[in-house]
Amino acid sequence: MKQHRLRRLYGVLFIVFCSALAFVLVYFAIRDNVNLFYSPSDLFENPPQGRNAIRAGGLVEIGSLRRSTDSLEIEFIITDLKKSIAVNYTGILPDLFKENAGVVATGYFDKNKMSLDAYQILAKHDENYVPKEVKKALEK
Amino acid sequence: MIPEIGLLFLVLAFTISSFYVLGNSFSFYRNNNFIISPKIVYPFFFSVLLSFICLEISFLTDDFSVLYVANNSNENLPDYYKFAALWGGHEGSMLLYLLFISLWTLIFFLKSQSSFGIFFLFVIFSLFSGFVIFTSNPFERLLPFSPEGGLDLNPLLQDFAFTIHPPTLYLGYTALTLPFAIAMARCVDPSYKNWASDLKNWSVISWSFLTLGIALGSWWAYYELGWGGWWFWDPVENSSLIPWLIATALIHSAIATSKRNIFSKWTVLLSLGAILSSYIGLFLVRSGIVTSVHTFALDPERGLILLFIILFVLIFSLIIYSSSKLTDLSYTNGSILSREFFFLINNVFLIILAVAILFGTIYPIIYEIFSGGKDISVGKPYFDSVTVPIAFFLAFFQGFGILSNWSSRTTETKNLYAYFAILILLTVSLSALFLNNISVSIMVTNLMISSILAGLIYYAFLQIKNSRKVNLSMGFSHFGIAVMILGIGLVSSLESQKELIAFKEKPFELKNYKITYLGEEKNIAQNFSSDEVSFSVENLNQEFNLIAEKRYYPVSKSIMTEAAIYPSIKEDLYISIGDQVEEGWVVKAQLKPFVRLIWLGALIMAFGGFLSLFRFKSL
Repeated sequence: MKQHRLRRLYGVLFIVFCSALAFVLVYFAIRDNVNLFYSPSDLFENPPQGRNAIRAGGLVEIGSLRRSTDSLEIEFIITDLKKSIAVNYTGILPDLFKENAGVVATGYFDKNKMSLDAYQILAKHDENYVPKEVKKALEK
Repeated sequence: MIPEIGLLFLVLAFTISSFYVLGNSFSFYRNNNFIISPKIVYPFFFSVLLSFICLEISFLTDDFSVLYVANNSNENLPDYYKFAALWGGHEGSMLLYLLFISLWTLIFFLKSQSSFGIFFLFVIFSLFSGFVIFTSNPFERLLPFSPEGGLDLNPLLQDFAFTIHPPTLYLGYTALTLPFAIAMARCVDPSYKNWASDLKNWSVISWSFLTLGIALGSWWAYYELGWGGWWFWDPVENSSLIPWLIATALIHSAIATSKRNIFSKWTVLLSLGAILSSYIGLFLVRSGIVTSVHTFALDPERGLILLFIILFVLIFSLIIYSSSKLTDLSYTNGSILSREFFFLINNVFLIILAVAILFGTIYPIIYEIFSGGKDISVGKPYFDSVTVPIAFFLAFFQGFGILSNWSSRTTETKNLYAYFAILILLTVSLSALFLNNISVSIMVTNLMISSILAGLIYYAFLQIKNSRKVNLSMGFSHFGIAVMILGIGLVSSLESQKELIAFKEKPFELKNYKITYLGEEKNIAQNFSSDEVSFSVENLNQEFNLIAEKRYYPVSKSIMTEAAIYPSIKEDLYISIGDQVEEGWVVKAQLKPFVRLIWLGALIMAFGGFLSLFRFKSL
């Protein structure tokens, strides 16, 4: 009977130990990998602290798209109709990317140049070409 | 007329199932027996089927007076897409969901005739058919001003995989209702003797369909979305992965329950956890609360009702569970090397993994609530760094778990030594195969699959030596996992890519491939026009042409890229195109070594699952 109790204790300890390890793992992973969303106005008022990548979203300003002729570097301006910031990106733009349509860029923000070095451009949206976060930012 | 008949049959099915539930609850309360016979399943199933057929007829005859058809179809759509367009949006896919629940109910009735089981299946059906009828009626009409043409099926969905991926996945999701119903039936009816093995068999069916469905989705995303990724940690993908993980845990727990009469309370709770997790997924996707590539129209009202259904099922089941008298033998009689203990490890790690993924998926919602409306997203690195270590332990313990014995028969320590010898031998020889590009991630991959394979090999050896039966179903399923892990590990560590502007007569190189942009051609199909951009590819020993496409769909005014893929087991060459720039095209060329092993592994796993049906006595 005593043996039996001891084994049950081992089982419980094993579960507690694994859960604790998993908790630590989740804690550190979530701390480093949360990307806050900013509208251009937010970026002016309250620029991001810390080293995590951020997401910035707005409408692509009409006529702002510049493309280098010999590389895949792209520059455009996103706006929430109050403030705007520049976005730099190297690579292929998604099919849904359009001027005057909503876009969300993920990357690192440069406070001195007020520009975002994006590593990912998403143009997921509903039928009105505006992503959920951008819609909220425009309505503010 | 036909849409009205469809709605009528749907309401009839709802009425039959609620009638069975309410009438029998009442008679059970009064006289401790059921007055309504479960034979009512026949008319029930046919009404759902007829309702489904009515909606299909509306699609195939282009009846745009039906709002749902007008939103998801178009007269120029090819017929097979018109047929599949039924599950292209929220309302229709819910009808498919109901059809599958009723199909499983019919099969369950034919095989086991447990009137309690049918009772709980009808409870679930009543809830969801009520949800469809009151919030998501697919037969709603646009009268008297019905549109001339339809808004067209989302071009992303106009693909072969769309005709099979959602139905397969839904078969898996809905089959999870069966283990749940069996567990609940056991709670109210202690005389249900074979419940644990029934429950296990149905979980295996659900698990196999889920495996196939998820793999189909991954394969589809890989070739259709044009990024060459095979898993994005999108909330929708996670919503299918979480029930899959819980179903995997459930199968193992149910085996322990049926063979050793242990973990029975845990098995009941897990089967509840499995369907609740699938409903939480449904809620996340259908309420529009998280941003995802699968966009269903945002509707908070639907979300609220789904939340209510989830809470109802949770509370209702816990009440039934708490009034049941389930007894367990103690699992702790045996040695630490017993199969019981490895099943415990399996369940602990699988559930931790499922919870960690769920947490990452809903963290943006939690954060938004507690920060007063700030939007965040949780990136792919979170999921990668959390899942890989846990998956490592799952794989590492899997091998010895496979060859361990139930505690009634001792597992000898010498087997442990032999197992480790095979494990080391396999790891070393696998690493030797990839000596040219060895890295930490390849070593980890090797150790993971060697653990599984060593267990399988030594298990087969022991069974044959002692002239016992080899469990092929188990063997294939676990072997499939090893194949999949190999694919994931290799493609993640060995893939390479190049992005550039490709000009005519200016070839570029990617590893051993020399790629030249040849030119483009305009092409007009039934419901879109396209630019077909062709490339010639030269390899050490072969030469071939590949065509990538930019499609323009005029009805929905959207552009879609179709990547050019040259598939092979060893590696895929994957070329996607961006914009046309002056004389050239923006091109992203990628090499994806062994990426096909991921889906091949899933096929083998599902095959193993279906194989177990042949030993299925009650089915």
